Amino acid sequence: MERPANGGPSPRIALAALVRDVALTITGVAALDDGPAGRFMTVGGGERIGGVRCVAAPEGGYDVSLRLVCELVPLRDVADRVRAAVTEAARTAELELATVTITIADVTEEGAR
Amino acid sequence: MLLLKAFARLVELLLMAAIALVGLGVGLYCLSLRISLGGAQPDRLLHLPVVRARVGRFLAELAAPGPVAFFALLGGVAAILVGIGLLCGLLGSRRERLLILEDGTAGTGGLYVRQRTIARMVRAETVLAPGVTGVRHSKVRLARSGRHGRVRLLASRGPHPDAATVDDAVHERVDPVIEPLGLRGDVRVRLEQPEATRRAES
Repeated sequence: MERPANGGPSPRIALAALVRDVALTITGVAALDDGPAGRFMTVGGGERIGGVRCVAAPEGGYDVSLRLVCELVPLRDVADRVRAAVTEAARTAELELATVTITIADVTEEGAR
Repeated sequence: MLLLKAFARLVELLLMAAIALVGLGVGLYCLSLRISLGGAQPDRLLHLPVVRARVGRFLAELAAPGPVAFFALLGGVAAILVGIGLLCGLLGSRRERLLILEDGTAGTGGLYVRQRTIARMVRAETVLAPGVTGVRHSKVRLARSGRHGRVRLLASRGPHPDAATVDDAVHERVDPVIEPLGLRGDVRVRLEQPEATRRAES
């Protein structure tokens, strides 16, 4: 059972929102993808965070999955940067993160060289 | 495909409900042969005698040549097509085809790329190569394991520059995309035929 701290969003929702915000700041990430029929999201506390799925991990913390829409850039590099930034941001916010799974769902040609 | 799946689910639900109701009626009818159900007569409730009379007349018209037989044939063909569509909706895989770059066993999480996304990337990079006039075909086939696969690309080029130069330019753009993903490439570049030549050949 997730408990909101001081009436704020639950850690799960806070983490999902943080992951979304951090991922969108990474160069090469154009957007997040809501998945087939818009079902890939984290919902709770009246919030809906599309493109990020945050579930409690069995061993503690949260498993985070993201669906990214990337520019035409090397995908592994983008994924590594997203994973590193998300892990760092979660650590700073004192939110327990277990794993970060990334799916490159689409590309946009805006970053075409 | 998504609409087809939703339609198949709806029809599945309605058919299940209809079959359940008919089954209940037939069951009660069968039961009424053994025990008395009083005033309840399931065959009357389902209007089975009327149905038998109508279907019997229809079958007689169907056997004879005429418009009824023609429309029945059309209906049959339409029913087959709808059936095939429903089967595709029900049996079609709903899983995304993904290339697995990291499977998450390292404990940090996985990294996956959609098959369609790779094809789009290859196409987008190819059209940026100098001398390329278009992409005729760009397809990614992944192995069942999802860990490797092959990219088939057929691009077209204008008469200038020459084939080798354009081929090198395409490889220069496509290889950095597919090699880090562990994919093999089957890249071909063909001379685009002018419209008049294509018409003359056909």
